[in-house]
Amino acid sequence: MSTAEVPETWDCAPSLTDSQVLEFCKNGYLMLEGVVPDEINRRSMEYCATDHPNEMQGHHEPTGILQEDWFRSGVTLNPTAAAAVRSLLGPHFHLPILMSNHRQEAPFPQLGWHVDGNSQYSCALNNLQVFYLPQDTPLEMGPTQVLPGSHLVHNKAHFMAHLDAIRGAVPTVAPAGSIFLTVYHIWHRRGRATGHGWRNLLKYFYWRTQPPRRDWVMEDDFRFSTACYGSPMAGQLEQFRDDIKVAEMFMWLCGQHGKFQNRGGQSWPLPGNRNGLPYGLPEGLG
Amino acid sequence: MEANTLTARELRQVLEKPASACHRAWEHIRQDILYLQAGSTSPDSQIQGMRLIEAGENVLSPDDPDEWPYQTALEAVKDGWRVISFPNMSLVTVPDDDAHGFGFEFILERWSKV
Repeated sequence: MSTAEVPETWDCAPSLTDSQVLEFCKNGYLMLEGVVPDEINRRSMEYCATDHPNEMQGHHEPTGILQEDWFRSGVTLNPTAAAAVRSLLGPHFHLPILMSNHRQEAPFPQLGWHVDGNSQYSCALNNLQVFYLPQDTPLEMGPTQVLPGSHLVHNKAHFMAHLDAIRGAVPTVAPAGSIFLTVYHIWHRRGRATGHGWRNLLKYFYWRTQPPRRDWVMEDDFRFSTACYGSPMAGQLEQFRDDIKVAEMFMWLCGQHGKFQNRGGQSWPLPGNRNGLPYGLPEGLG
Repeated sequence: MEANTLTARELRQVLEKPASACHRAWEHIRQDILYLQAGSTSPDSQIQGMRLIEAGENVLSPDDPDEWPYQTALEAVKDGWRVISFPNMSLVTVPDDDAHGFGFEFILERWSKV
């Protein structure tokens, strides 16, 4: 247990590039495989398997783990993960305040598709839901399934309960020490586990504290005019609506939402082989 | 009846016989339900999602769409399923910017013996 005061916010250098931030806008999640050292994974597993009388929800809300120095440096302030969070949420992002553990003994059935409660559906990205896998999570251990791009399609958990297999769904199979970041309202569900043993999946949250701006790693050759804004969820939306939604989210993250516009028809941000800068491209963006 | 000898009891027995026979037949029949989420209102548009319930039990659907039993609602109809609910056309009034869920859902049924 730490004796030092736990900071509420954190800052570090961003790591994601324009293209990677745009990919996040398209997919709604980002997987960072094996970024946590084995020793931290081992201690996390041990913590999750131990009874902690002071934990309100026992094994399901092991919030006390946030106070552990080794966990803070290895997971919540993990250099790779924190730099990705910094890229998406800006400087001085707020650190997690609660830890959930989707701890379950396999085998177990899959659960229903849902978006988590208190989602705020919009193009704004003011928080991130983050999952940490302290153990190898192959398909047999029921990794969470996500539907890439589904953060662009508004839904409500109780209206999704009858859904089952969905084209394009991705199981987040990953090695121990992986961390993945998601837009909070991405569609997801627990996968079916056919293996045996306990599966731990820790879930926590970061918040933005500063207005958005394009202060991640800028690429010299990145062009707003020719970037592809299409999303895997295109098939569920009216044609090109995914391009428009992704471009709007990217512009919001750039701190340029006020300039975002859709002039209709063949204008930006639709893809196409145009005769110059696309009509409708916000002023000042190349 | 013409001889005025039919009693109420006999009449009741006659009326109850077909009903109970029918009831016995239905005891062994269950409704199967198939949800198919399509890409458009067309019954031959590609399926984007599916769920199958047979005789009140969920059937595990393959994760791989290539392994789904049908790729369109029309294929399911050709296989004997009956559409009992078509995509809700009122969803056309939902603004494009506020697209909701899977808008193009066909619900089909068939009856099978257990």
